[in-house]
Amino acid sequence: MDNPVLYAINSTFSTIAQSIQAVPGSGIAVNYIKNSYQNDPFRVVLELGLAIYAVKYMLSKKYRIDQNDVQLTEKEIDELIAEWQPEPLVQTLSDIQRMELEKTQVIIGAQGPKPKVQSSGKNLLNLASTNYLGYITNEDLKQTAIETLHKYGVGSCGPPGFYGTLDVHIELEKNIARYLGTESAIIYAQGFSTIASVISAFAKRGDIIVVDDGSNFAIQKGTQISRSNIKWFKHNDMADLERVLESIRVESLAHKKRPLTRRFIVTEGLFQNYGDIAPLNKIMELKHKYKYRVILDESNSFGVLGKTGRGLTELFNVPAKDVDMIVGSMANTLSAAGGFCAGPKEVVDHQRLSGQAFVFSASIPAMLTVCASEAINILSTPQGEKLLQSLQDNAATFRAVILGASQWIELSSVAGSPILHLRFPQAALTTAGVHTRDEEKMLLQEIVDEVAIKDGVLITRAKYVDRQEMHLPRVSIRVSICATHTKKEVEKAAQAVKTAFGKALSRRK
Amino acid sequence: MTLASMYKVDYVQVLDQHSQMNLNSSWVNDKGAWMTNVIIIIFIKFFFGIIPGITPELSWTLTTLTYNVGSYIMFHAVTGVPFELFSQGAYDGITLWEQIDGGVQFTATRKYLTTVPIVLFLLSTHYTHYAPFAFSINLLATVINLIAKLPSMHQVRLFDINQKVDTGL
Amino acid sequence: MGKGSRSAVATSPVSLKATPLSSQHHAKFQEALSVKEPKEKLYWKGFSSSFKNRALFKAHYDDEMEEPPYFYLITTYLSYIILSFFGHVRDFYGFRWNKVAFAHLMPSNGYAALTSDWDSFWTRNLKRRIEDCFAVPTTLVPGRTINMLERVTNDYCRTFQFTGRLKEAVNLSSYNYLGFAQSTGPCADAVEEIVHSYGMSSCGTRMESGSLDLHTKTEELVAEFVGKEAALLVSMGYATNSTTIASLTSKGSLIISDELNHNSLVFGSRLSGAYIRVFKHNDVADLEAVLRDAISQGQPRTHRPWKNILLIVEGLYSMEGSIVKLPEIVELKKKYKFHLYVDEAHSIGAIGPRGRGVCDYYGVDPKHIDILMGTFTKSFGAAGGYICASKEIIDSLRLDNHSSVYGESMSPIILQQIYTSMWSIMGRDGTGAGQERLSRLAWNARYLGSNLRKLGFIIYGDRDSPVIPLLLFNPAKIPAFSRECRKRDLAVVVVGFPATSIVASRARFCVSASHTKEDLDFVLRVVSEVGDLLGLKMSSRQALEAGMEV
Repeated sequence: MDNPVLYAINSTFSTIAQSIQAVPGSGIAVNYIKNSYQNDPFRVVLELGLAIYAVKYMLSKKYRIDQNDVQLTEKEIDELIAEWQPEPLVQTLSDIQRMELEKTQVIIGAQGPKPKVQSSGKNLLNLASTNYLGYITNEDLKQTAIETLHKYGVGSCGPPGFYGTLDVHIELEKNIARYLGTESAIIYAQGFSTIASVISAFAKRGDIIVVDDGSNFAIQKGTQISRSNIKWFKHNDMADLERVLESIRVESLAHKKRPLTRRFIVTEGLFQNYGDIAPLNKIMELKHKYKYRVILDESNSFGVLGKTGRGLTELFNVPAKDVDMIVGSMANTLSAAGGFCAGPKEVVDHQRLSGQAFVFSASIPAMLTVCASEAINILSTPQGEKLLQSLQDNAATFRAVILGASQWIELSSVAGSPILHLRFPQAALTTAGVHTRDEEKMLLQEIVDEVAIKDGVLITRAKYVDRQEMHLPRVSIRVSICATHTKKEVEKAAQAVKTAFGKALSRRK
Repeated sequence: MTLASMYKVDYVQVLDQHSQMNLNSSWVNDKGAWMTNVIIIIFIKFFFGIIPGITPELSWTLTTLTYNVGSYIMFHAVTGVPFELFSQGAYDGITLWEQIDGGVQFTATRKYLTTVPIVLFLLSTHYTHYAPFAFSINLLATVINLIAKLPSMHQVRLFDINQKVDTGL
Repeated sequence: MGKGSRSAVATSPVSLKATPLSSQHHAKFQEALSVKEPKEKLYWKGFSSSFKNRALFKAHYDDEMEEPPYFYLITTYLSYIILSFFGHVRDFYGFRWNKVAFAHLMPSNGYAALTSDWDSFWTRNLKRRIEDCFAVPTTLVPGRTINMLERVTNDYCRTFQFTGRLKEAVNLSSYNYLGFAQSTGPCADAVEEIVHSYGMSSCGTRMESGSLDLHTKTEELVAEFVGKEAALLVSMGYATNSTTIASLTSKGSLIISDELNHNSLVFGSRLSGAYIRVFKHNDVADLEAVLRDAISQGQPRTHRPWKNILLIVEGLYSMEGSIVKLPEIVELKKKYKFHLYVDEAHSIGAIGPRGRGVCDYYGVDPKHIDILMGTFTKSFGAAGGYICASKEIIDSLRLDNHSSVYGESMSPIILQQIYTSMWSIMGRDGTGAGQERLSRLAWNARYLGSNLRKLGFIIYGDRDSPVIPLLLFNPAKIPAFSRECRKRDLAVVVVGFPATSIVASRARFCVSASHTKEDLDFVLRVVSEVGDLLGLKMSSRQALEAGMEV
């Protein structure tokens, strides 16, 4: 020990060794290392490595994998916050939007075949409501409603998943299933929200939905929220549908490894935006050929089309069991409220837990449920058949008059449809110098106003949320026929509309 | 087949993931979850310990192996959410480990879950007295489990396992 | 009052069936409010749920959700592991040897499986097995008591058969906060009148031809009640949220949402295309952190500033019973300039001295909140919802809200129910019945909540909340609690994973103004007995609670 350097090293070493021993618990660690050495330095290094990794991991700072955050000081953040100016939630309304709001008719008193409107205080012949069969004034339904009120009250005060399922809900579900001829059915509290919930309950990420591009807004939103791959086919164009289906088939052949995904064809029975009818027989053929499930929105056709109002399946003589999901509304023809989805038991059961608007919403009030159920019962009686026949006749009467003016009225609706969309032909508009959508809206509004004041007829423009529609239809007047009007009234109203169309155009020329 | 590739998540899927609480992964941060982890290990050790004919060495090795395999399956093999989250499959193809804490790395739970297998490995090699066979099995199981937990392995798919199939649509 | 209810329970367990529940004579009970109690029993007189009141009876630990002892948590986790294991075993056998029952989960005939088996794993292996506790079919008015259709199952809840009998039970399951679910009384009379004069429907959308004068009239009243310029009615509560948010925000906007927000808000947010971030439930500090980060960093990737930020919160969280910290949020709003959307689905009518929701409760001027949304399903015994905001926003929403343009408008009967009940709450009918309902609800909520706390249960939420969640934790206690309570003539809602977080399975009591003190005492006896049976009295705060006033 005469070398001072060596001595210094040795003493430092022993001091460190002593101080390590002084740390409580170090004995165990030292013992552990002594034990684990077992003449195998490699293993010790491995273990030490793991231990060091654990310590390093423990000391690392949190971060997000995908972040590209800018590092900012608190002062800079405060400045940025002070500088930031948000846009208002809504834009100021344009003149045309103001006009749309102001011109919306408000009905004084009851809705019906001849309601009184606020603007003029007069009773107008109603060709604007979905009261196709005139159920709104049916005294029997009213009586049933009052009886229900005295038993059940108004609200159901709970979602169906807990204690909100009433016996009348179960009965209505059975009634719908029986009437349509499906295995079961489920009811939702609002017609509009039904289809979006149905689509999103089944179609998920990675699934394929083939949709008619003339479909209504509710279907569009349903496909959007489903996050599936959406393919559009041209409105009611079966050749185009087949082309789309074929291209998907070819595509999937190229990817043999791809698992089978759910595939859906979504279309509307009676198109709300066009008044025409989907060729269900052809769609069913393609469905079977390409193995797609069909979701059919019968919101407008249920209770309207077919000899006893069973909708498209009756019209085309297709068994309702073959259509995977039939979605309908009880708010339109049935003059109650809510929507339904009919189909096989698995389809319905799945929605009871996964149909978002079903699970998270209170159930539909008992009074409206019972009315819907009664309204369906009426459809199967001779009275119902008479109403349906009269609806068809009135629609045909109106249609015949309008077709007489095809040079200035374009009619996209087909025979048998109680929804008639009246538009100016593109050519006529061009000659009249009407180019923009807003101008066209104004022009049609003139017609609506004129027939209301001069002829006592209530019609309405079809309204859209323009900026959110995926395939915005052209501006139109939607005429909804009602079964309880007389032939004479309908004829007179049709003449009035026809004349107003002609006059509006000639004024611009 | 590719050796390693990223699992791609688009903007809408991220948006859907952010839109609500992920109940499938949030429980790992709840009280009692960490302790349950330890208790399960004790149970496994106890279970192997009472089987006649199993030596303490073997029971330690089996414990490490079971824990690592079990936690690998739970955190790294199974993807998605086993219930209806009403998010249209926002977590499809994403493992539980990647779902934890919304994908933020080095959070307390991640640190805990990374440390447990290391400690378990050190304990079990110690108690198996460094028998080469037991050592290599323990090491292999632990290392695979740890590699899967590396931040650099986040949403990386080896050999196309759990990889999204390109739909081409 | 309220003190020593535990000893009361201990000394009089025999009187469990003391409260008369004549099974078929429902009409006699549904009008609980019309039966006047003697003066000295008017505990609720002048009672109100308000922030000032809460401050008097608040415990320092009220903001923290109580956690149970480790034993309950660990057994809960282990239960789920065991359930999951058995689930896999059931699936393994089911997919191989029970192909009929599993048909919709398997591809067949060229079609992919109808639904994913993994997505429904917990549903099939937890919820479906205790199906008798959910979707209980009922009949008649969901008032003070509820009539359940008795059903039996012979195949482990796969199918049910009705026995044809009714079972009447005290109703703690319906959102009938103010007791307006009635089949007689002023509301029912007015609704009957409207059926004659207006019919059942308005047959059309608001923007086309379904606008009635009744809509305008009710909207004016709702706007006045809520304290905003204008209101828009929507025919479904869920749709009020899901079809409105997309018209307020779009790509480039940010929605900041409470992590426990209702599905309708999430649905609407996802439909809008705006970016979404969540903050910890009712945690203002976390909200501020998210706001600071979001505003300073801007949009993801591009760092472009957000067009606008919409903060969406609920007034009263129906699963947690927690009331939003509105004053703090309004303070933040001044600094961070976000827009505020408050969903008052459960709070409107149910809290606040005048029943006008969270603003009323805290004494916050509604002008500080951009959009106040609420529903009529709960306190008003009707259906549908409303959006209240400035006239500018409402005008824009009339043109842009999906339900307003495409959805059916509200039925006249619903409108009338809303009108009459709101009229009564506002005290305009001159009877004071509305105020009485508010006071009774406020007192009932306090009475039940504080006594459950005193009994040693773990209760979440605010002391003024009419929704009282009682924590069960272990999954096996979910069906047990529901069945034992129903057996003892008490209808309660039970909720488990995945509707709540994995450990926090709970039973949920919804108090109503139609409950009498006797009803609540009956409830306390039943719940206490079931609680003893299932080992639910695990709270560590019991001693602290003993001295608390109602």
